[in-house]
Amino acid sequence: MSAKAEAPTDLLNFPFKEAGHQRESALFGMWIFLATEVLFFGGMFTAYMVYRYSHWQAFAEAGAHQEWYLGCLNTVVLLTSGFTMALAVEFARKGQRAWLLLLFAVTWLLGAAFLGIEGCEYHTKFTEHLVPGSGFHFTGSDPSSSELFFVLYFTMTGMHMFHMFVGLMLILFLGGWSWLSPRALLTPNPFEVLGLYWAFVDIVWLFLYPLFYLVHPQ
Amino acid sequence: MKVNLGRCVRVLITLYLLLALTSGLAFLPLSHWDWLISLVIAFVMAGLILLFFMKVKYSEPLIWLTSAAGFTWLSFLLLLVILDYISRAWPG
Repeated sequence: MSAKAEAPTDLLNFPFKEAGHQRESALFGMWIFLATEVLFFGGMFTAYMVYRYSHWQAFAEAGAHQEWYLGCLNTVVLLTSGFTMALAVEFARKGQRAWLLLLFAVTWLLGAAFLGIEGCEYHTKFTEHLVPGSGFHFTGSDPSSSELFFVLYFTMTGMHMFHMFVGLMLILFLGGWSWLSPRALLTPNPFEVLGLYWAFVDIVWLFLYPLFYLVHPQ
Repeated sequence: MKVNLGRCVRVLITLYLLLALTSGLAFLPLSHWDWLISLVIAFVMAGLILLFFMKVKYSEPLIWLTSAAGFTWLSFLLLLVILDYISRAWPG
């Protein structure tokens, strides 16, 4: 019997009278939130599009300084974490706590590894003076336009990393709740909502990778 | 209902292969079209995640519509902005 069918009535929030209705509303609400997130990142993607169109050569020169293999490695890490999160949600729906906790742990470690690799990249950018600002130093045909590339790189990957960090905190919270309370898995809604959030953060990275790492790989 | 591990693994392997493809193609001399190819592949990968990891494929029509809404409005924004830029007669 599924966890949904077993959900006791005290887990129903106002104004819901039925677990299925509450679940549909939770997922619908999350999808609405994700649509606003698409537009949030969309503004930055639009800025990227305009500046890359206007400064094609300067962006190619700046892109040549990116370590594409680190971006590729991060994509592998993130795709794998999306896979483990999707499985974790499936096990939450089945009420299998041990598998859920194991997959949450793997997903969390992969997410933390992603942030670590990204942190190493940021460190390299600092040492190579590629961080926009007074210390920025770039040898190319149009350094100020190349600086725009790095402004967008730090802004967009920074916002993505912030979303990753929030996701890691949510995994800790829901994982801890599942660990401590046997009632946590009576309703899978929070796990499904977290699964949607994590997959969305994956999707954003799938576009950041070609736009920042494959511009002119060396 | 069993956890469909096989399907998730197949999707993950396909995503890995598409990542290898987009990374490899970036090194080929494809003129100015490499950005378009890599974005098309990114859209395919995003579609796989939406359909299978986010389970849109198995969701009701309301979720199909909602998941497409953000991307639809974003496509209007991107399209109208770039049409403005590529249709301008730049001075000089």
